[in-house]
Amino acid sequence: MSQRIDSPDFAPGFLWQIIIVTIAALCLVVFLHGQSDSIGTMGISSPNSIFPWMIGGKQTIGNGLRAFSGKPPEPPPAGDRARALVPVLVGMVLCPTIFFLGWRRRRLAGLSREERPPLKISGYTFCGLVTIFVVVAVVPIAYFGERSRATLYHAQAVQENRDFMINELNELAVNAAQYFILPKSLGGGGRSFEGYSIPPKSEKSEEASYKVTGGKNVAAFHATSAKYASCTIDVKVDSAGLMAWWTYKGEFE
Amino acid sequence: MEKDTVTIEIKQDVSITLLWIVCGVILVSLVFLLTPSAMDLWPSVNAAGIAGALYFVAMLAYTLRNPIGKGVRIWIGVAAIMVLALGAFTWQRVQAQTEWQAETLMKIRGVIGRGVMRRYMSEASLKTLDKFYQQRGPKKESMADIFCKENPGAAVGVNIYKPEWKDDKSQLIVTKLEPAAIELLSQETYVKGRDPQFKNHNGQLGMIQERFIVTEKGIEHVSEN
Repeated sequence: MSQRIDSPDFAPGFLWQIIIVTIAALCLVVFLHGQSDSIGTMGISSPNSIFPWMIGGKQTIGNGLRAFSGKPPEPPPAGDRARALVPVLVGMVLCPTIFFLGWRRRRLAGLSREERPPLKISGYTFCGLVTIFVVVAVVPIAYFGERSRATLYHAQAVQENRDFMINELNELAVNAAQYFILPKSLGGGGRSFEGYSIPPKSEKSEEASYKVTGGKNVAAFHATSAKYASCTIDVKVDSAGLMAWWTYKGEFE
Repeated sequence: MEKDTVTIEIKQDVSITLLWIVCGVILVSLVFLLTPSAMDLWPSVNAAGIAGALYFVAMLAYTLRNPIGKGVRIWIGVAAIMVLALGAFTWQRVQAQTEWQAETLMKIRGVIGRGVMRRYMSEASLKTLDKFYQQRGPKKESMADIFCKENPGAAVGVNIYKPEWKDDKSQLIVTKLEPAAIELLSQETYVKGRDPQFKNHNGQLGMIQERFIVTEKGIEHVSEN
């Protein structure tokens, strides 16, 4: 038996159905991978996005976290590789091709606007929506991305400055405790912080400037950031070199 | 037996669409899969992105060919260039940001590591110095004796650090134990310090290493790498 289907409308509809089913399947695969992988891999959820850089970024940060814990980096799992490839295929190949070639066909059909068939839910409209979404979304994503990056870089710079200052204060605490312990004959305080002063080379660094007030049993340090003038740290050091009563001001709070 | 055959006729424009899609999918997938990326996805993703952009430009040029009007061509062309440029910019910025975040994590790890090392070494050093100067009477114990009393089992080359959790790999090694001088050393095993060529105590290269030297005159801290 030979069956010949030559309805002029069948072929395009058939093609759309295949494409829609394929896209739906791809979406489902991506979604299911996201569900299974987000449980576990070092607490990083697997982003499912039309923008492939999300997956690249997840892999980089995942390996960064592994390095933080002293573990070797891991190659990207097959699921992540698929999740990175699918958005490129959908967003840069499949949808734009169907949308733009469909647009050209409609435009050159020689029909006036009124005569053109209305858009209905089809592969063409779906791909048009995806293409337009990508085009429209790129602008706010670039803008808000830059804004959030600027905030992130600034917050990290402030945090880094704070960490360096804490480290330098730790050094000063050891120096002060040593002064407390050493006898006066060796330049110490003979079990008192009175008369203690910060060594000249440690009074000012690239990160901050430091002042101290030495009492009998406690030395009080005041650090002012050299990079963020409103940011200060106050801390007290006891005879054992233990630091307590930390007070952070400005952006350090 | 008669063979069943199904013949499907596809319109020319649909077959052209299909051909473009098949070529694009094959091109981008091949570029993605053939780009070596052992531990990092970025080389593959970037290469696939460039291939996708080239495909997109070619497909758009095909779509906008005659008889599409010049005005429409210019509008769509400019919009496409802007979208591609913004997309590439965001793509590159996200990559730079994630790489920066990964590096920052290691920087933070280094700061934490140094802080922890200094805390343990200063605690042990100050305790010894304090006990040494608190001694009364004519017969005084040496600094080494006091240190050994405070840290049972201490000897040159011994790690006196008591792990605080299961995977705590911190080390506090005694490198010198003389009556009037004690040296303590602590190093990281996977966090890089300032000089990549610095030879660490355990033979590794370039890891963070800190040293505390305790004498009767006080404590000297040397941040070796």
